[in-house]
Amino acid sequence: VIGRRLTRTLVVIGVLIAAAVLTSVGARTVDAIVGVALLFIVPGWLITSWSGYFGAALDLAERVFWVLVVSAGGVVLSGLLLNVVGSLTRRNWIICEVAVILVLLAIDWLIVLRNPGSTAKNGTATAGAGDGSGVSRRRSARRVHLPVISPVNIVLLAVSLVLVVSALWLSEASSADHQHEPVLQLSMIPVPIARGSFASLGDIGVGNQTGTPVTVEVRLFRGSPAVIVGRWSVHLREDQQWSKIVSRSPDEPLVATVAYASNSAIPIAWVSLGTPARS
Amino acid sequence: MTSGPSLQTELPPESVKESDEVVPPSRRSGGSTRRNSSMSYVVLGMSIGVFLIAVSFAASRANNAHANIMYWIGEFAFFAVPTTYLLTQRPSKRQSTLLAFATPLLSYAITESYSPIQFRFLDEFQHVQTAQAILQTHHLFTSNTSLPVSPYFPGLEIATTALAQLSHLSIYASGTIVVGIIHLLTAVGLYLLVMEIYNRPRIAALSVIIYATEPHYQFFDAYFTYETMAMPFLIACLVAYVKMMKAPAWRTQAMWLGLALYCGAVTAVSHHITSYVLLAFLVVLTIGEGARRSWPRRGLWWSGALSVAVFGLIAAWDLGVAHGVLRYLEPAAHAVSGTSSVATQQLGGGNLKDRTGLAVSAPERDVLAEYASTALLLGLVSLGIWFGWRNRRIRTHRLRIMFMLLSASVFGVVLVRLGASDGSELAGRSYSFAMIPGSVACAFALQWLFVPRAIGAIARSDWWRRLVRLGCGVALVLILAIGGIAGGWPEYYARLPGPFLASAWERSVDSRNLLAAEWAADNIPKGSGVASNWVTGGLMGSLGHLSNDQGTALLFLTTEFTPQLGTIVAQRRVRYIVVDSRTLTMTPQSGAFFDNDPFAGSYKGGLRLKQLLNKFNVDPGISKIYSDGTISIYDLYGSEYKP
Repeated sequence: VIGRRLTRTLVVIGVLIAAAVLTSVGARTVDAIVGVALLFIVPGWLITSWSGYFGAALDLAERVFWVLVVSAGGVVLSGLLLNVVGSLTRRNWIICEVAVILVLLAIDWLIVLRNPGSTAKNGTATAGAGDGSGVSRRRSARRVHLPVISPVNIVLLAVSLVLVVSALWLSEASSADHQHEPVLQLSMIPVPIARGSFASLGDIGVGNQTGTPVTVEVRLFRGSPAVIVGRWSVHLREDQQWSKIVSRSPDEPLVATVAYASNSAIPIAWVSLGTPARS
Repeated sequence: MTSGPSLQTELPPESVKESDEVVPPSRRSGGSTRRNSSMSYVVLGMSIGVFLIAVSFAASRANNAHANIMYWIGEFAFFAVPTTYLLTQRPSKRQSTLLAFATPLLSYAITESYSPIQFRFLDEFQHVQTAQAILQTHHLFTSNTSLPVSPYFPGLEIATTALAQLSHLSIYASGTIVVGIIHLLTAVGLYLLVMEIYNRPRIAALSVIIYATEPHYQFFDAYFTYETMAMPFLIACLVAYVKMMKAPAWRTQAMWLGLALYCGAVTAVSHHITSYVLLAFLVVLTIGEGARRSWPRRGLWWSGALSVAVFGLIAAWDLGVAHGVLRYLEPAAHAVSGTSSVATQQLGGGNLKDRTGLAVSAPERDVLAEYASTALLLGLVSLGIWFGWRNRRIRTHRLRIMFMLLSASVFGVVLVRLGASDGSELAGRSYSFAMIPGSVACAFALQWLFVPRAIGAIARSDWWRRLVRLGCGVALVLILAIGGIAGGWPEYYARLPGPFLASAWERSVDSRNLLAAEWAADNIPKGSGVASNWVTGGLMGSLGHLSNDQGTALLFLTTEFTPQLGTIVAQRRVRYIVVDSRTLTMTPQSGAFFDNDPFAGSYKGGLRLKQLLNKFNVDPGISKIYSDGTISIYDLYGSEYKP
């Protein structure tokens, strides 16, 4: 019981530290690890440690399963609750998860205080808590808990892990190469957009999704036949955008083209604002 | 579930005598480490399979012609290695547990290898929109322009956005972690369920392997969709149910009843169909409990209470919160009942229909593999039920025989496959549920057919007989796996990742249409009507937050404006047209470019006629508001189409 209390005290401290980390550190990897633990492990771990109520000691596989199931289910139901009583903001999630864990810990303390004989230090059940057998499961459960660790096992599983990680790395590398098709986006949005071709302003935009910095030439043509009225040379870094608002009369079409500066004679794309059919 | 040494408390003494998993203590001590290592070899063999599949994916992205061969070798290794082990060795509980964990983890590695940096299946983007809405509004039940019912079953999105908010990870990264956990739980849950009912490690591990051959397990059930989230809770509810029924003390029963209800509640709020299947399973099990001849029927009350409570939860959610779910499911119900307007599928002609209801021709070898595996599955399930019925230890145990009889639901799925108008799609989805008990019946059949009853029999039989026997057993599992892959997801034309293909599901999602959809989400008012081909339109509906209505194919199939097009635009409230110029030259892999395409199945080399799409460029009233040289977005407001 003392060991169990110590463990729970450590959990309380750990959860408070986790909450502090989430609210202050801001490192994505740390937040991800803490977030996964708070959401998907700790609540289920606490509940499944009430082995006296589960009838028998859960072996490792069962424990892992129920820890994840109970925790994930708890996240879903907590989300529904948060939606009713407040909102699903980051702050509320932290408060909710910490509160849930502290409540579970309090219940755990009550269980231990009310019936100290029902659980053992390691959370396994003692006599009378089985699923009908009436015999102690502590020894057998312990045996199943611990995998046989031999050098051969370690090497084989390590090689397996290396293979799987290599598979994922290879896929990510080849997928990134394959996926990154250079895309140069050109747009001309009527302002306001609801006006469509009736709009008297046009917002020309260029977005660089080519994966490298580029220099492009944007040309603006007005009227029919088209007369060039603007020309801009634009240097864009990856994922950078450029925009320019131009005015126009709805009865004259506006056309914009974009081309790489190195080959400005051949436009990559063009956009336009039309003239309304009933203007 | 109990551990190995306490097996005698779970089963009657005769079952201990027969159970091939119970290793004599004298053998246990000497061979433990060696046998444990052999399972590590199995995991290594499966990992090699995963690696080969990843290599084949990389090769396919580089247009290597031999990628397909590598892929199948990898899949064979993934399934053949554990099957060989399970049919030749006596796995201990520890070993089978390791396999139950390794199988879904490695399977998920395959899924991730297919698309490791982004979602790629169209349905995933529908749920991304719901997740985006939760992150933006911090509330549930916002509208979804692509899948209106999605916000009302927000289990997956709640878990994903909770992790995304706490960790600052993207929706993709958070979703990948959540789905990975869920995918693991589904297989481990099945393993625990089988162990709980039958207490046979080999059967439990074989069930997991056979379940992994089911058409949707490797990909669809590992996608970022709401069904994925609900599956493990369905299984967990069943595990809790079995625990509840086996528990001797009311306090323990009440605890497991509570957990079963908890899982039932999460299932109900996560996915509609899964919750109905859960209810159906519970009702059947309750009926089986009620069939007991003698009193007291204490178990019937517990079982009945759970069924009624789960029914209440589902009814409360679907009628009280998810109002539109019945209307959403109406077409599927019509398809099952055969009253759908879509023509009945011709199963024998090798014609498959994807979810758009389009006619496409799958390669004959795929159709053959699918039929062979279906026939084999029916045979194995029948044998499993028959063997189970003949076995007194199963027949006289209500839970065991009821669960075995539940596997007959596989026959229902095949009937749906044959009879429903959208049979391929419906059956594929249904296998995920039917194979929960179905995999157990198959595992029993495989064990009875291919595993010698006693060690002495193994020693006495000739090596070549053993080899033939083993070969047959492994071959059957491989046929199931090949059929599952052939009839499952992704479709044959997108089985390997690679360069863009038109109308090819995962292969049609590339940076161009993703960026166009994101641009639309940033610049076009949410819910505006849009018309496009079904892939780009789907992305515009989900990622672009636009309203993508079906029935607009004709807009792209005439060379000039006609009043009929104006009528379509008005009726379907189309404001924007999205054109992918690749549709001019590329053959649609699924057979059609558009939803309800009148020319489905007859395209050879794309739309071909430039005028079909060029008419939007020459109409002076139309504004071309976006272009990347391949994909263009047109605004119809002010034109003849939408004056």
